[in-house]
Amino acid sequence: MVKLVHSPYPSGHRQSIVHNETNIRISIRDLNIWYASARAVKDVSLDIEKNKVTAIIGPSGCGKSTLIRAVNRMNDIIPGVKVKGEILLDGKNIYDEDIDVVTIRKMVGMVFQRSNPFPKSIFENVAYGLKINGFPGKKKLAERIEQSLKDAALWDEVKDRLGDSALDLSGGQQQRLCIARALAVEPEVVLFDEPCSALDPVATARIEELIQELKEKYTIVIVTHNMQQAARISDFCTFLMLGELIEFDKTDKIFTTPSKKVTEDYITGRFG
Amino acid sequence: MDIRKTKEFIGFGVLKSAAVIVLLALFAILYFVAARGIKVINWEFLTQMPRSGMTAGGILPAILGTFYLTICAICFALPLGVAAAIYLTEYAKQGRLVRIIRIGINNLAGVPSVVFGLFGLAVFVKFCGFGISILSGGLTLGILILPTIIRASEEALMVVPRSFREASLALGATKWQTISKVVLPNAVSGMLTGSILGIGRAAGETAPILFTAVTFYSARLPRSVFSEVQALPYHIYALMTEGTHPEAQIPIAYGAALVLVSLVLGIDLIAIIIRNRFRRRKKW
Ligand SMILES: Nc1ncnc2c1ncn2[C@@H]1O[C@H](COP(=O)(O)OP(=O)(O)O)[C@@H](O)[C@H]1O
Ligand SMILES: [Mg+2]
Repeated sequence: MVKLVHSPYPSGHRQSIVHNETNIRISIRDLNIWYASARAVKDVSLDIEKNKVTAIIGPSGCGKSTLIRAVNRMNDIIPGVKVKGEILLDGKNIYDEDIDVVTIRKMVGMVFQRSNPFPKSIFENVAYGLKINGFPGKKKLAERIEQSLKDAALWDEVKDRLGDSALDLSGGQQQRLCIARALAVEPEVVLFDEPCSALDPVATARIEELIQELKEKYTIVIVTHNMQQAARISDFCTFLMLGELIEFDKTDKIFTTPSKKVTEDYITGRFG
Repeated sequence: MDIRKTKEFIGFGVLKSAAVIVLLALFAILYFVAARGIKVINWEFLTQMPRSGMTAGGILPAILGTFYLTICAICFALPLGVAAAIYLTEYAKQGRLVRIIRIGINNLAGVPSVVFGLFGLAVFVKFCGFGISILSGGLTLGILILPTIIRASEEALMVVPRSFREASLALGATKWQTISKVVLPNAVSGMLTGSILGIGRAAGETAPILFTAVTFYSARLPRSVFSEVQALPYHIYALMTEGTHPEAQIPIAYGAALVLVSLVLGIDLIAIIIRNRFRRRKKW
């Protein structure tokens, strides 16, 4: 157990107001993250509910990516990163010594800011995660790929050219392919780090719509610096500033009656 | 024309003439070798053994010898160099040790080739007991090109975008799966291109094989990796400095030089073709 660091926003208190306790999938407890000696995330505690969309907003450089990447331990690959605190996934701390990172990453998928399909065919992109996990059988593989592409609302556009290079797709299609690729390994949680920031408004609308559908099956965390986007698609919203959690609440509440002045200033566009 | 434009004009002019001079030098060498060498080159020259104390006949043993030495060097240095590069860029903690290793590799690249020859003599010929042989010479050449291969491979690995690695790891791939299935396939063209250019260079080296592999004349073609061989670079050297019939030997030397230059350019061409083929495919 990590020593409880003083936090101005005690998690127990907030939790009882915001969440239905039984539906909590991920609990972040007093999380601190350092890059070398610079602390990028400071004493953050928050709970993420099952089958809901939780948005993380805040000005650029406030630690949104660092925080979300902590949830599937992607920060591990950056040299010099130090993490203190706990992230409980279904009650088990993913930073415990005996945890296998690979298992965590299978359970918690991730879609990145810039679409990053492999320079392989559309089919091979989606198949990748299944193949590395030793997915058996050609027929089942094809079925699962079809399902994932359907879930990512891409199937109709690519079903006749699964063998084409993924790099020939448009930006929005590439991002949906990355979503399909993440869904194929059947994660329980999907993390999105500004998935629309490189896309045009039409492609953005598709992805937003898709995220709404995905929450039926998955627990979703999305980082965005687009306030309207957070308001449109999320159920819960976290406002971060300089690595600190300023406010966490139901999205309606944050956008109508935020309890902090800075939150209000930020969402009304007075800074950021 | 204002002053800035004039400056730019002069600047470009200087750069352009530098490029032209380099190109001219290259063509001058090629022309010089080709004009003299072409006279003796025919099918017999390429496929026959030398005759009459090297004053007539072909240069087949030297061509084969260079070929074997190069293959041997590749078989040794390519896997080792690629493995070292993978370790250095992907696995090793980027700290002091890796920095020291990199400095070592860079210095190895700067060591004069004759020193490699002496090293090969001491270690492979004598200590390992391989004698004057294809094996000793090939290993020596391999060590000579190792830094080139390691550096080319490291560069090729480093230009594979981090986003590919992240995508793979985020899907639950292990580090080794990520390297073998995503990083390596995207780095292989760069590795090959750089390595082949290095190998082309090695094929023309004389000093490293001088004490380790070559003989002036052998009556038979090599039969195993423990045979000593003739090799093109040394063959040229020997024809020009030894023997008593320069008027017969010198044309053969130019013929051999032309073959050697063609061989090296051919190897470079392969590298360029590989690079272009892969470059057209990838767009990142
Ligand atoms: N790889 C890194 N090395 C060092 N510092 C980093 C690194 N990545 C991010 N940071 C720093 O951590 C802070 C938070 O960054 P980040 O989480 O990317 O912010 P956001 O996603 O909200 O824009 C920033 O001050 C940034 O400069
Ligand atoms: Mg970010």
